[in-house]
Amino acid sequence: MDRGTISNSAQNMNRTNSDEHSKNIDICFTCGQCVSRCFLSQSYPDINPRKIIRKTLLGREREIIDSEFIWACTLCGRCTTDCPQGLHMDVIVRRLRFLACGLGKGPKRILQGIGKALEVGNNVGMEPEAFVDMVEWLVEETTEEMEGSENNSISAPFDKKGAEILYLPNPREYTSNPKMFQTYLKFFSYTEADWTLSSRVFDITNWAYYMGDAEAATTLVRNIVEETRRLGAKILLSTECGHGFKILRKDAETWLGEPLGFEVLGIVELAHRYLKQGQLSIKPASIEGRVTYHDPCNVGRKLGVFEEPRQLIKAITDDFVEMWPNRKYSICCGGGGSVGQNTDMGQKRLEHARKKIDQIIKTGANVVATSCQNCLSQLDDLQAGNDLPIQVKSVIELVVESIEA
Amino acid sequence: MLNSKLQTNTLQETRANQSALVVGNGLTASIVTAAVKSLGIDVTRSKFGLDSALLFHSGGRGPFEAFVRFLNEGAFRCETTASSTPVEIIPVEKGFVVTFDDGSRSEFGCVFFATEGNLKPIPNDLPDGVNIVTPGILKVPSSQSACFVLDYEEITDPSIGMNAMRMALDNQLSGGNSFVLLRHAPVQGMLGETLYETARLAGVRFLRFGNIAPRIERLQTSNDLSIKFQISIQDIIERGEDILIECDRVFVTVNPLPADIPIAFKHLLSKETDPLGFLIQDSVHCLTGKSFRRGLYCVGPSTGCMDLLETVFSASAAAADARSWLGLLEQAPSSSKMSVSEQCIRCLTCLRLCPHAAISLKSQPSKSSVNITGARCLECGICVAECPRNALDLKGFPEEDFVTLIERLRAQNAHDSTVVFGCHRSAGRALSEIELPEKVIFFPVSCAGRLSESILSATLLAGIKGILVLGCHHGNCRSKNGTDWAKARLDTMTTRLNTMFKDIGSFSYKTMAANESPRMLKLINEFLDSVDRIPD
Amino acid sequence: MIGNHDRRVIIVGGGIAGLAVARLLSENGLPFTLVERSDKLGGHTKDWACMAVDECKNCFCCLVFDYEDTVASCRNSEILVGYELSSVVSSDSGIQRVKVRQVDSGAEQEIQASALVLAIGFDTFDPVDKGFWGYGQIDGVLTLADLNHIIRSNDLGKLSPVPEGALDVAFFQCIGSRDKSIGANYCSQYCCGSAIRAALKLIHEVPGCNVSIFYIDLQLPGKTTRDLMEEAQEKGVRFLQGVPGEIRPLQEGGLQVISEIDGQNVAERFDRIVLSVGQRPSASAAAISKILGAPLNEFGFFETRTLFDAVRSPANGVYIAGSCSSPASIPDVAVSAGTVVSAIIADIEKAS
Repeated sequence: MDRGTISNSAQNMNRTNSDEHSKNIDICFTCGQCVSRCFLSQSYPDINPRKIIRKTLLGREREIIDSEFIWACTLCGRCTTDCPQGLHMDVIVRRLRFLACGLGKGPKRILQGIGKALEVGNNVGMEPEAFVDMVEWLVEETTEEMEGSENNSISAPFDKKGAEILYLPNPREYTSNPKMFQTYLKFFSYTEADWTLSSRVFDITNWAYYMGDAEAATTLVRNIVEETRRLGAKILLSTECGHGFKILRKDAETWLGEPLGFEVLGIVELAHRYLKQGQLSIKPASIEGRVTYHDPCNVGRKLGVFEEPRQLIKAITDDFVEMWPNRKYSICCGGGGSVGQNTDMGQKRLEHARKKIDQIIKTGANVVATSCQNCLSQLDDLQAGNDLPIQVKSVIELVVESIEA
Repeated sequence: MLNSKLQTNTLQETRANQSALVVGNGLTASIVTAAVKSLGIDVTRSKFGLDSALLFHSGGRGPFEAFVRFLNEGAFRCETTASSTPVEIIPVEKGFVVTFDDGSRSEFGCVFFATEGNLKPIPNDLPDGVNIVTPGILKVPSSQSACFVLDYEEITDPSIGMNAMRMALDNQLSGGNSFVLLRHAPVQGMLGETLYETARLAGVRFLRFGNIAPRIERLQTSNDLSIKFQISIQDIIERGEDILIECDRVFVTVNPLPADIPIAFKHLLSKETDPLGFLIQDSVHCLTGKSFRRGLYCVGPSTGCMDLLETVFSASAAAADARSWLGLLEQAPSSSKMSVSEQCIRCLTCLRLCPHAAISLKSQPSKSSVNITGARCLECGICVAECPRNALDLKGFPEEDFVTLIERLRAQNAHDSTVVFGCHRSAGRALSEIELPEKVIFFPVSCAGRLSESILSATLLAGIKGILVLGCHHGNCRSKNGTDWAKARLDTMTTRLNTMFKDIGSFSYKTMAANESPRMLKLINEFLDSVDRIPD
Repeated sequence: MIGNHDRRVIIVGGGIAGLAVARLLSENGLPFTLVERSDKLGGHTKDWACMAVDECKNCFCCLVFDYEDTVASCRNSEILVGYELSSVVSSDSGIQRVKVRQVDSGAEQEIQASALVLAIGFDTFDPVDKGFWGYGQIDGVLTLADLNHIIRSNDLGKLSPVPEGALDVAFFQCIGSRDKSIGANYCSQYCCGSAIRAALKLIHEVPGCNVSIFYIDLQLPGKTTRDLMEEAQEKGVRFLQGVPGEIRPLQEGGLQVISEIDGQNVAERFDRIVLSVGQRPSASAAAISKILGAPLNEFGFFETRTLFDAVRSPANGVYIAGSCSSPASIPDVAVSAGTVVSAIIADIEKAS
């Protein structure tokens, strides 16, 4: 049987692989909109999202798998926002990364992190006892700091069955940036939340998702879901972590193929809920300087949580200014999608973030607020590396500061 | 009254002003015949030209054959037609007199040219065995691979391109493997995009080339019976090395080719072509198959349109227009709009110049006379302005109006005034939105073509500062070239008057449209400035 | 001379489609009542500019004036400006009586009619819904309609940020067309030709004007549109495949877009960017569909019976003309209007 072939890519053109994926990207009609929306388009002038799709369709995806671009991509999804054909570039890149990993081209640090997460339950490989110790120490530290204040005492319940909220932190909070954990401790204390930590599952991140490893990613999500069920929490509370929150809110049910049976809530949403219920003793105009808000791609563009953080910020400052473009059109900070954790990429994430820096400078803001650990860390690095006259803060940090003001 | 009784064969009995002649053998003529007949107009369909259907079906649903069946079996049922061929078609007062090759002669109220067209030949740099895309549905033996090349020499007509896309899809769905190489994917009509997407999802591979056309070569095969092609193409988006495609069949699309106009119809049609040579001009006045010669319609491939649906609809639209034309023909008394004086020497300048075929010669043994078809005449006045004997006048825009204007200018001693002659269709219409500067007299004319050299010079010699003539844009004149006549006369006068008189007022010719009021004011002011700059 | 003088036809919509139908009906001896909701006849076409550059470029906009002039002088006919359709009485065999309402006063009146032609046209896509292009946010981003209004007012001088300076203009095609994300996965039919004509006009009228047209696939139907494109190329218009998805205002003035040119991502600066906005179903289509029981298709335009019977609505006695049945250019509208009149007469012939 004679079939038309493209000689150097025969198997793809004949679709011997029944990959649904390549069928899906067939709907691309090369309109080109994604080319200019990618914040990497000038850093990598000879590659862009459209070319990636084209090369994949023409059986030349090996060229992309070998390229640095798929590791520089932050999976921000901005290029395919409003895509006329409804494609999702982050899905396409994750698949290419998975193929790359299969060829031994995956970033070592990330793959190690995934290994640890599967083995121990978190990507830093911290044993539960060490986590409990760490938290107890942080509780003590915070209590000391707060001595003399009239507020309630700080505590961190573990494995409390029937607690309304199971709080799921990002490892950064108990390793590199314990200040953040302290902020959340204070937040729970000030709001008198009925919450608990799990001594078994205490990592919201899912680096397997970054690598397109659906099986591992699902395992990690299952661990979290089962623990939440075991403890009987009504709310699984995500820390300010973009991809972790997005996966639990948007993907978990699909991946597991069943309803979760509890609510997934971001801590910013919880704070907003308290604000609406009058349970948040914040003070208007209590933050000094002009404040702007950076929409994390996962929280904003992918989950549509745009207004809650803004209403919280506006409740505590009179001087709020928007970046433009914002909300679903927000420009990525440059540190997401594993780029921030991928040591192979060196400091390129800082070079790639020029557009974000320009956007921030243009606002004239003194404070850049955001609600994702990854964005916080990247923005901090951008501030330091460029001597920007700004402070980078999480939304909850601002809320706690306002309560304390 | 119109009736739906059909008289397709008996030429002699047809009542001239209520009947239509459809010229053509193919599908287009069937479509037109059906459309005209459905409006209760008697139709004679006469043989002429090719039989083969060349219309491409560019819609997104249903095959081509179904329509032909629909046309033949359904409400549009067509009977067989007159066997004779027209050899001469002459516009007369009440329509057209047509002479057939069997010697018979008959009168018709309107004539439709609905002949089939042709396609350009296969580009000669392509190897043997390459086919061109034709309207029929491709029947590639199953599991063959076929490559469709669009935009090879020039951008493909979208309806032809879409047909190629449908052929590619059909081949793919019947077990073959299809490739489409193009610069521009055709997505005409509301469902074009859906067809394009369906083809992509069905597995048809689309490759986009840039300035370099794909290279198509025939491969030597061991088995003499099988033909194989190899095509190399660079996808302008993928941008890698050339992609090589091997396939069994190659189809290229070529665009329609204008047909030669037969000598018999040359006097009727030769001035009714577009710049490419297809019938009827690409003009705002020639939509829905109308020509400038009123009562003469052209539909289908001979006009460059290869789209089946478009042809079906423009045939219907032309039929509706033809029906109103037949009504007008019956109602309008002849000569109502024009007068012919005794000065006429029957030089027939008017007959040759009239863009609407409104003037015919009534041959009489004693004294032939020039005859004006009131229904056809659009009062452009080109004939009036060009008549060497000044024998013609427009009743609606009579000579005496100009005389009055000139007398008024003289009486007023209007040496500081400027006269603007403007076509009532463009400048006359735009006038309502502007306020004229002082000392500007606007005088609407039926068409800039009405402005004879004598009117222009007499006005100028009345002692005014200048004349600005505002005609319609070239190509937009309702009387085809009235505006060009005005320009030509002013050009002649420029040469002539400048050598004769040095101190005469100046004049200028500009073109505009009805929706250009602000520009009209600008043109007038610019003219006033230029006139003022001339030292006394 | 043509019978059935009692057969009044109601035409809903006084844009170019409605006027074309009215004119041709009247020329065929059929009386009409034309109902136009706004305060003027002519619709979108009336606001668009002439694209002639020394000679006519067949934008066809002036056609609306020719139609309007003829329609204004039609006998036995009526034009109701400032009125809208409010209800109909229909039987299985078609339309019998129609009620129209004066938009301002709400006063209703009844009209005897035997057929109803819908010619309510389209709405232009509002690019405000697509934040990436910054329409309404960024100075210098305009729609093709805006550009036409500027040309129409003879205000082209306003386009150049620096008087007498060079003017770099880009056209973005398919804005609000071929876009599944907004339910508009169809070609709007008119924009490629319009953009090319506007490009030629700009080059002709504005010294030092450079034009780039970013497209997905050029759609060039019609007899001489392909020649128009060649003419534009000769005059230096750049045609670039791939429409930039974002416009960024530059600090130093001007607009930056990134697109892929010859395989490389290139950032370029333009003074003005024209969004060639597509045709969307009229906002009043849904309400009128309900009144008449005339169904809409998947895109929100009025459904017609079959591919070949493309002017009759499945609702008896209702005919669909122009761009309310599918996106259309002006020549398409003229053909569609003619087909509607043809269908009405054919139906009368069949009935008698």
